[in-house]
Amino acid sequence: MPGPGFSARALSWQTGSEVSGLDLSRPEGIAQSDVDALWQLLGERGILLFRDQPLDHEQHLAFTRRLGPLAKTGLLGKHAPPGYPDLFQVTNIKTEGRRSETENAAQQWHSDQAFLPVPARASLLRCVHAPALGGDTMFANMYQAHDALSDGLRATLAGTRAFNTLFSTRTLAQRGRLPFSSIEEGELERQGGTWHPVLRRHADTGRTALFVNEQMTDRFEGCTVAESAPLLDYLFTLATRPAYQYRHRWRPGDLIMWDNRCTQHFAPLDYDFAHLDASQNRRLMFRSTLA
Amino acid sequence: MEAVKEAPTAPAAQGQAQFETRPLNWRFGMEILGVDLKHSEQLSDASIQAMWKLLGERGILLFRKQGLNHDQHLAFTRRFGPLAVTGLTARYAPPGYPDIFTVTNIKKDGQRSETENAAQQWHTDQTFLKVPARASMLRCEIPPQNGGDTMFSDMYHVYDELSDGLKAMLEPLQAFHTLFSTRSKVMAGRKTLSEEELRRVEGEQGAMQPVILKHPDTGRKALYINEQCVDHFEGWTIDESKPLLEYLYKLVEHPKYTYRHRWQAGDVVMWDNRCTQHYAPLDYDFEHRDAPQNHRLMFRSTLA
Repeated sequence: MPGPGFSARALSWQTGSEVSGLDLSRPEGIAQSDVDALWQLLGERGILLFRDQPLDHEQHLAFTRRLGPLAKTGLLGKHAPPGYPDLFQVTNIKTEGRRSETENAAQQWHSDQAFLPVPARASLLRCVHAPALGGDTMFANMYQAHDALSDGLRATLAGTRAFNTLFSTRTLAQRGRLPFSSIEEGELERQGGTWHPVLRRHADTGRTALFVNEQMTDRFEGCTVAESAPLLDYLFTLATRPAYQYRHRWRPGDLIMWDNRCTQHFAPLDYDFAHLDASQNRRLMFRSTLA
Repeated sequence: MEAVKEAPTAPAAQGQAQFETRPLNWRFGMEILGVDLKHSEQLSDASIQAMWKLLGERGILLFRKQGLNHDQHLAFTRRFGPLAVTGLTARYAPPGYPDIFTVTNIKKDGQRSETENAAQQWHTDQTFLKVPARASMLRCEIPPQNGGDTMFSDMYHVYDELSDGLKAMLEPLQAFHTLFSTRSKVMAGRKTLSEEELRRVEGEQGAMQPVILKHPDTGRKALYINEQCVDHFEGWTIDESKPLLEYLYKLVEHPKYTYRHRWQAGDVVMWDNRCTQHYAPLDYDFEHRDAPQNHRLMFRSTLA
């Protein structure tokens, strides 16, 4: 059996690997064994970085589909580039003089679609324009967060579920965005929220990851929001300890695939946001999402 | 609870119980009227049993204008059962009464009292022992002119108002109670333990207790952790425990669960350590505590 058609280099101690030797613009040329190996590596390392891959929308989606079926776009549909309903555009660039509603996306730590009964397995974010200085994305390893819990707290959390919702009392995600007027009736309710175990076993690696996030996790099952807040706040702080993080400085042509089952991510707005219209501060990213 | 009347009225529960009652608060605290504790040997067994039952239900009992001396205080205490070991409080016993704990701000031989700031944190007595004190009895000899109150909080009520989810989360947990908790202020400003005292408290350094205590008399559940003695849940780190503990400690001191007692000379307050906590807020002119109008002198006995 031939070895993998790519090589990998660790981005940090426990989180992230850079993958080299694959041409993502020709996903049909990637062997199935390599697809399987990429999933395995993703599950272990949480994020995969592919550098110098200046993809267009078609190639981005084709590579995503090579890895599995796409997730429903749901509410993100309203931020799709024309003609590509499966892509989510994240940018600070004005359109027709209007501010972008996604210029401040990922302002809280989260994993994608945790409010759905079956959250997205993975997401792929590609960088077209990066600010000259900053505009980073940070990733945190939820295996490490889980492993740091004491046996006692782990035993308590093991039997506990939490409610994850787009409309969490903590969420900042809807701030500055247009109301959901164009969403079809019932869609909001379907996507309103769901219960997930606080400690979740990763289907590929068998390891357990902490699965609460500051943006969407509102409360523990049976508990009030006020009662849940102290322990949730503790867990959110624990989850984002610098020791569990990889921080990515983007270059155009970068593509990062992350595993929503064992990582969280966050964009710290670490650039001159007061002058986000200046050309050196432009940021343009596209995300695809795997079911 | 149903037997409790709104105003001083008929004798309580048992037919032979010879006292009247008046609630101190909506859910807890009861004043007992019509008894003379100087002659507690004359109280019927039925009265003592009725008081004990009421104590478990209401958490604290107040007896006004009793004017007891040490012997009468101890005699009444013993009507409810054996006294608790005194442990560390023995160093604050008045001469000749090793079972009484003096709480005062009055200087002795020019030295500050080490108990002038006692009960500066919410707590229950002796939870750091394997078998904590069931009840305590505090009598007031001299209250400050303004203030010097003691506050009590109802741990049944706190428990009852937790959500089902948090009740379920706390139910299986134990917590470690110790005088030497990272949160404890109890030894601050006190002289260090002597060899002899250390030996005496060797077995008292800490004990595991359930976070939710089922009161053995009433069968009701009460929150049973306190800020002075508990800094972690069993198996959890101190850091992990802190946020949830602090949430619970904040509940404990919520005014809706508390009764605040303004002392009069001659008062005796008996409290149940299994369903209440208490705290002394230093709500008087502590800076001038040597002034006679600020003197405070209290004596406590403790039931095993």
